[in-house]
Amino acid sequence: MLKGKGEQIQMAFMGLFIGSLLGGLIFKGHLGGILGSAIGMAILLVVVVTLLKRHENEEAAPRIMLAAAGIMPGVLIGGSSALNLGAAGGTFFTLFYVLFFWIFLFNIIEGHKEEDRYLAYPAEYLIITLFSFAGVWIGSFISSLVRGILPDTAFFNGLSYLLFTLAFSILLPVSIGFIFAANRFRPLLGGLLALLGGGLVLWVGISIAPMLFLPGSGLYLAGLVFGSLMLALSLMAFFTPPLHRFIGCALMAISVLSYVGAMGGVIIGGILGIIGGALVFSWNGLEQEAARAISEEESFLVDEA
Amino acid sequence: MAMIGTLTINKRRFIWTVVTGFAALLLLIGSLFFTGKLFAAFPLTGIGGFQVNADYIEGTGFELWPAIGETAEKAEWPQAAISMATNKIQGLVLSKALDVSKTLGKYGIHKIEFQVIPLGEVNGKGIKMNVTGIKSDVGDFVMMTVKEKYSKDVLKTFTMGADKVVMEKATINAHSLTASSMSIPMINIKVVAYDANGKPVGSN
Repeated sequence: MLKGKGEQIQMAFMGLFIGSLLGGLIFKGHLGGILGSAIGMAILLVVVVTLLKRHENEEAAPRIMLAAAGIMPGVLIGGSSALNLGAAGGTFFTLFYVLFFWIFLFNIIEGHKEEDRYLAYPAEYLIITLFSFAGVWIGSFISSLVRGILPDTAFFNGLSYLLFTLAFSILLPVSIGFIFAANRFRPLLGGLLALLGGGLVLWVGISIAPMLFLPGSGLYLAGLVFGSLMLALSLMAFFTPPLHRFIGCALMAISVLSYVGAMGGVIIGGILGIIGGALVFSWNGLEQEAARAISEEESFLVDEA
Repeated sequence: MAMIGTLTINKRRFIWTVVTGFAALLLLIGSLFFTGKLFAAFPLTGIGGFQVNADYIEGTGFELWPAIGETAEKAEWPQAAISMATNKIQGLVLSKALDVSKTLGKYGIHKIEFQVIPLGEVNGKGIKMNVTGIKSDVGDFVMMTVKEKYSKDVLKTFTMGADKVVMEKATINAHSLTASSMSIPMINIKVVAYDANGKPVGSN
């Protein structure tokens, strides 16, 4: 019954997510308002996409779906206290994001799809929506970290917030398709997850490194050792795909061991390492490539005959 | 299935590998738990101790060596023993944090910190401390010696000493502090309550 309704289902979820966040901002946490705006937005987006799918222009529906994904980052960045632009800022950045996603981002993605550098994936627009939202949050977090480096003025605070949130809210959601495309030739996805996990384990190791000054504190070395090994193995996964089974196994073993002495990189680092290691271990890009080459050769021979 | 195709993985192999990885993790955590070594997974929790913060510490006859001592939460824990013949401390704050979330959590108080703040310079003689952490912005050692010795007792294999030591903006996580004599001018004691987010509650 739901076959062929993928876009509508994605739009329903996107509508619920965008509507609930907008409702939360407009109705200041009032539950009825949030529910109403979430359901209203979901219905609106589903109706729009259903109507556009009947349109002759095949690009119309995906363009609108991408434009809808730009609503949240626009509202959050424009309405942020860091920029202090009020409702006018929120409106301006929402329009900017919607138009940017609708026109430029769509063209960029489609261009790279044709070049086989970007891979379409299930629930693509829903994931782009969630990652653009996460990008604003990550950009905001990083700008708060660099605040100590730049002069502490409203101008520089606003500028660093704007640059980091713009960069992450656009690049992070788009990067997923590029990662999936590159993952066909090397275990990039698993390697990236393990790299992130290794970074967290190393961070714990560096945080407790001053304790190494004390006698009998050998256990505190664990984070530095395991974190460095995880980073090195993750990089190896990118550059030596044929060794993916060994690298995946080693990544998983070290990720498990990182729970001794390094809290598994605040718990999440070890989990990312295990999942990343499993993805690297079970990666079958080489097998798929070999199968593709054989089928191409067979079809060539059949044509010749 | 479509997503598995996008991930370029062998689905069955991936599921088995993830299950094995998390089973190994559970086995490790379980074995640490049942052998009473769970603290090894979280090295900075459960040690206990109180904080000694000071703007300026000057000590003479400084010595440091490995030791095993008790803490509020462990009967035995590796520590560093420090002794100083005399010392002079400015801006001293002794603080001890207690987790009271179980008893006072319902009133919004999750942590209580007792602070002992002498209003002036503290002078002590024959100071002995057991610590598990020292951090300072500046550490000056005069006539410093670091020596290893051969001994069957591992606690006697390493010593560090200095005729004079100066530390600025120092934070020490200590478990015991004794002194043969100590003059502390005008002690001010504060009890600071914190909520679940670590923010102070009410006035002091």
